Amino acid sequence: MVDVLLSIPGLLLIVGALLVPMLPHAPRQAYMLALIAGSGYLTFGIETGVHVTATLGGLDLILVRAEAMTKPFALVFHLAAALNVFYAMHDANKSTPTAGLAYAGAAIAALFAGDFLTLFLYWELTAVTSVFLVLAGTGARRLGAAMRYLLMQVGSGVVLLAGAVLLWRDGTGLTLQALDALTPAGLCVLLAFGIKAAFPLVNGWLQDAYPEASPSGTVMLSAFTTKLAIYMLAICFAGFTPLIYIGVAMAVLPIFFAAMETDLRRVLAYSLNNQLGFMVIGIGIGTELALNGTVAHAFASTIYQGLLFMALGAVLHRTGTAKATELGALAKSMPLTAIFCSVGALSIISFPLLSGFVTKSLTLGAVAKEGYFWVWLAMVFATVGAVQHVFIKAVYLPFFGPSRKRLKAKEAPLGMLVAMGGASALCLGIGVYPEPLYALLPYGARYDVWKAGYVLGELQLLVFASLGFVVLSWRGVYPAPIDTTVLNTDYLFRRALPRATLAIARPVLRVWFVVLGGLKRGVLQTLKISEQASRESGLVSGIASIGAAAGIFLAMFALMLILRQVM
Amino acid sequence: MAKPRPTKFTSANGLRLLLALAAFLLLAEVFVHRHAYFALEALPLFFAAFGFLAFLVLIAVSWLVAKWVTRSADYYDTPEGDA
Repeated sequence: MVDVLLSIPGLLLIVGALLVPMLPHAPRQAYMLALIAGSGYLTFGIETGVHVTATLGGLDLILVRAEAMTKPFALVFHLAAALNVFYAMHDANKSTPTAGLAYAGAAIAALFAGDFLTLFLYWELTAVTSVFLVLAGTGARRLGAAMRYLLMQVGSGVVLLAGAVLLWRDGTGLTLQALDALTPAGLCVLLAFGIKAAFPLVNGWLQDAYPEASPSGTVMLSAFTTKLAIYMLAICFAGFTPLIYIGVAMAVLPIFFAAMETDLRRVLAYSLNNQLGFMVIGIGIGTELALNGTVAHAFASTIYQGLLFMALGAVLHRTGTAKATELGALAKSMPLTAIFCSVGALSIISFPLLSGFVTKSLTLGAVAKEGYFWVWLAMVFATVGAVQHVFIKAVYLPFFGPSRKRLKAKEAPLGMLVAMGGASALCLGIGVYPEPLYALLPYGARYDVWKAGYVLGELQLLVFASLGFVVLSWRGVYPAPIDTTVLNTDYLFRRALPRATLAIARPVLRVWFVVLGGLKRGVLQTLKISEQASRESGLVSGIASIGAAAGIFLAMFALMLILRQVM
Repeated sequence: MAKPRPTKFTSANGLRLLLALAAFLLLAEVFVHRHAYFALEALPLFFAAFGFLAFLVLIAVSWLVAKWVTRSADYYDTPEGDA
């Protein structure tokens, strides 16, 4: 029993989470950190290859298998889980850490799944554990958001299972490996991964649900689900060219929505979507350098995106709002949070010496090397988008911008500061000395990000984009934040689909009721006439009329039989 | 709802720093050879011009699109919305 617990990565966290709600506050924190450290130690020793197999009803399952890119993902999942414990330390709430730990465990276990059935199990487990993080929010909208989130997540699992069944039927087997996307099974699997990776049109759940969770819940959510999907896409669909263009859409479209959005945690959810786009482009390119870029970027972005969600979560925790319309000059009251948040923002816009620069540049370099000019240009444009919605909108204006009346805040609690400090240190550490991260990457391909010319180009891009903001704000035409709802793709199933259904159903129902009403009147009329006619003094009260009535009845009966035959 | 004030960039020091940085980066272009994959990228000051223009385009496009895709803040809170 203990053997099984220790040999399957992540299982320790899933089973260990059951004890979490029973422990008092302080021992609970120590217990969770010990579990994560133990799990990290066990997981990090796993070498590439198949380790644990099982058979179930004639199916060969691979419970534990490590690929070349498993280790960096497993490492960053453990790091994120540990930082999340610190971040949520101030909170007496027990459901969030319990669900969060089991969720992290399920995501880690999924990384090591070697077949589609095992993956399906953990894929659904990440869904049902993480929904409690959305439910732990405080807003009135969280219930609906949680249900929609669960529908999409479990729906993704069902499509994955369908793909697995088709693979099994085709004789391909259940092994998790490179797939042909242009088969029914491949399409199912691609869609299942695509939902969780927030592909265009199926991305609505991300911006819908993540900002409704509690501050610590959102931080936990931001780390695992989408990066697990990226990992699986890289395993199964590396080099599938359409992914390049799906990735471009993911990198570019959200930046316009982020520019319009007011809820800053929702802005970050769009920004997460934009980052995933870069990774999907790398998977679509599929060269060793591009895949290295995707893995490195996934590693770094898990941390800096988490850091940004942490900082805005701390703002929400202290001020009760994360809306751009209500925030300003917070650096005075929350100086440390402001510094950490700036580190996260500079990382995401890939400022040199920070983690985004040394990781995203790999993918950019791979795209340029393969000669995809427009894709490359779109990625540069998407970086300008990040300058606008993260650097200026989510960090500069709330922390350093004009102050707001009635806004009171104090510095974030110690646990939050420790988590943000740790994440900032990682961003800086990776940015200054990326070699240990590069050593973890699956392939030997390298790219010199430090060429002076490249650094200069990047700096020019960032500084002149910021100047764009200065000029627009001087001219008084930089749009002020307005508290609105920005329609996202979740509009499709929240409004468009119900409306379309009603639009079709209404005329059909109208015709149906007209026909039915006519028939009813007809029958009543007939009854009335025959009733009058059959009275003692009536028209057909004689014996002959019975024969006539029987004749009519038989004719109707025959007509009915014929109609039945025809229909 | 109060009429939203246009956002102003108010920090004088921030502005000085940004302008100094911009001037330095423009000057550096003379001394540093940028290795380029694409012809367009090789143009002098490509990144500076692209960064500045892309920012303006981004704001203009999202300002235009906003008319189509923004609704009142409580749009989804009512069963059938306001559209």
